[in-house]
Amino acid sequence: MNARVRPYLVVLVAALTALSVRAYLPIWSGGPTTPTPNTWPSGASVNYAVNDQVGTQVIFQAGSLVVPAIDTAVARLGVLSGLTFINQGQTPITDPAQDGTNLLTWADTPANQALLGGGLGITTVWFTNGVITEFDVVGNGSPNSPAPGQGFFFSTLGTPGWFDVDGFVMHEAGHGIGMDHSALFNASMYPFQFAGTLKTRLPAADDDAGVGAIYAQNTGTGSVAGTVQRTGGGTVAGAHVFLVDAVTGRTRQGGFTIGAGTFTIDGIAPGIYRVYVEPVDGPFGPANFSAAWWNGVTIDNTFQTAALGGVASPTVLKVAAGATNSVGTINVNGPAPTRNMVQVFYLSTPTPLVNPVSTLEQPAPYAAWFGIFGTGVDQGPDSAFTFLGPFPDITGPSTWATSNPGFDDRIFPLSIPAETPSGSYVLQWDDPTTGELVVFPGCLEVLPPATPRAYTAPYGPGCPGSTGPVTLTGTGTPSLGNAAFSVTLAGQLGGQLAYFVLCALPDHLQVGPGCFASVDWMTSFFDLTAIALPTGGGGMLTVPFPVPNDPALAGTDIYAQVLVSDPMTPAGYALSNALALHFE
Amino acid sequence: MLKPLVIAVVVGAVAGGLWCMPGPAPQVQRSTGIGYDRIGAARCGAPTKTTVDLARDAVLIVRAHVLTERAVRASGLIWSEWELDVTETWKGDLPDPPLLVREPGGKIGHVEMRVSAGVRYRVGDEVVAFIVKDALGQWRTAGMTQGQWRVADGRAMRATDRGRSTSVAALRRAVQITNEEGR
Repeated sequence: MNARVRPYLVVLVAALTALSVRAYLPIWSGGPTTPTPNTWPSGASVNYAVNDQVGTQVIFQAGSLVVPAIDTAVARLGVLSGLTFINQGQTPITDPAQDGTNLLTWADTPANQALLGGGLGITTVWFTNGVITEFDVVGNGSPNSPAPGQGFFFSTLGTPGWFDVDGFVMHEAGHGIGMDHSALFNASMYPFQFAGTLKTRLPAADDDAGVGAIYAQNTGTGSVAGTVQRTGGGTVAGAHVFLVDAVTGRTRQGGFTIGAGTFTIDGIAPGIYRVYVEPVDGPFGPANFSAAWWNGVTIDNTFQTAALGGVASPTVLKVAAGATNSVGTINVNGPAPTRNMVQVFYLSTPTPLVNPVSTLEQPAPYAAWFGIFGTGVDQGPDSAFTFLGPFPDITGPSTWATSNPGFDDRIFPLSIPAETPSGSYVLQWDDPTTGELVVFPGCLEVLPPATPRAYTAPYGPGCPGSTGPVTLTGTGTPSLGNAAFSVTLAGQLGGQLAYFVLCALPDHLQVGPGCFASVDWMTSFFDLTAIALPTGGGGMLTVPFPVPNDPALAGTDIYAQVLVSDPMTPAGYALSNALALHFE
Repeated sequence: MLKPLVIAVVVGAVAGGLWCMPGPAPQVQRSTGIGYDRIGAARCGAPTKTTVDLARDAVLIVRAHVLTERAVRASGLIWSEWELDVTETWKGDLPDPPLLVREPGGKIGHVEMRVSAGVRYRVGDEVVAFIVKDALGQWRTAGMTQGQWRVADGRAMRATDRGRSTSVAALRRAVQITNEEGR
């Protein structure tokens, strides 16, 4: 079997490396219903200069290599956009102006302090008729701003408590190429930066998507489009719409509805997703959605979180390459939420006896005490809080919950198992006391491990047989060269035939009442071959699945599901859950 | 015991490029009972301030109608400038008219300059504006969007208020209390 699969997998590797993900978050011109992105000309060379005080100021940590970090960040944006960034060297220019120089400066001058207003950084972007002509990035270079003795401090060394130069420039220069903010917590374009975190160095899928959308870098991806409106009428503008991978539970792209309540999220990697809509009510708030200020989009954030198909059982949507999935209307309802989650943090103890470790992201595996801030988070049962997907998990009852003026907090034990794929995850709070659903997309970031890890992930409902659900599980991980890896089928009627289906893509296709094909049979690697199930032991069958030590498999995914004949069911068969196999 | 946690939190979000959270030295702010913004984060400066903070910071607090908008060039940038027709002064000494409030960004001819977010005013709106002077001596909105309430039917609401308005009378009273404490 493996010999037959291998050539297909090699083809799959090539296909996957050609994929990229895009979305739509531009700084746009035009009115609330007619967004037109502002961009640099396609493939342009963009010269930039760095103020000659940079690196020498007191706000930079000794030993930091600031200019190389700047170069690295803009080069990364160049790869995403197809632009070429060229460092023209240092300049005595201290302040932003329309002077033909794309400037990066931390100079502590009155003009810069006026522009910053006490913030960490700001970018001015100049454009004419949709073409960006200049940008200037200003970092706050005063040790006494926003308050005496409480300035911001920058480093390239990843030191806790210092703001990372690379991540900072990724964000600000992202504005410089036409990107607006993202509402996904893990994105480089998220409007807040945390001291000590390095996560904004790496573009999230949403960043990649946003840049690719406005610079036409999309290949092999699909789109999702629709409208958000209140039940009974009235379109909803300024709503945050985002996708969650239905296999892993990771967040992917997001976008916003514009003036007519419409949204388009493009550059989506082929796969299956759930679509959520949440109000822009913090931590990403109306003030971070600049289309409200510049393009006349009137934000409606007085509705409660909803999902395509309903929050009780969100629709699983298949996105195919080159296709636009029109999902029609997603209905939302008021009144304004009374619950909200606005911040998460990590601690080394189950109670807040020590300072939180902030949002210190790590590669899997790890365990931590995980805290949530927000309105009403101390209320209701612990079971109301869950992470979407099969990986990160709240592993026990909360160890701390308090109500405070203006905010509340709660602390849980959290486990990130070793096989957790890197990416960002969604915390869901389904509060039975109010009936409200609250989501915090991207609030948990799992960094890529030094050595990529293989994993399996069960997903999809299948359909039960006459003896109950049929389960497909992996034993071990599909690591390259792991001869001991196997999959086990259990719960089916014994003495029947089983048909293993291995496909390149997942699916969510209803094939009967309550019965779903969770793999895309059109991408099957080989013809169905029947395997006789044992008559004893409930028909349980373990199939060896030795993984070749073939580097071409690294990073690829296949999706497995098993059809089992079952004459005792109306359809004559049962379907197992599906199992994603990620090879590394 | 809870203080370290309180220190770390920032609730809500404010405009103006990249902000940060959390930081090491903010303080819990007492509530005015107005809005929901009761926690400050001094490390991050402008991002979140209470109404009391904003009132303390502001050198001028006015109720006004927005009369005009225009874009001007100043200090090498394009700024938007709004003329406010003041009907009530709640704090500070009103300068000789016109009162012109500026925020970065705007369009002159075909040339446009943007910042990634920011506060804007709409001609025709009635507002309560908490105003400061910046390092260049320009009148600016305190705390960006936090310092601008739009007024309608006797109630005031900010972009950050999630649809929850407060009465203008209550807002004025809060400012008065802060003014009295400051004397």
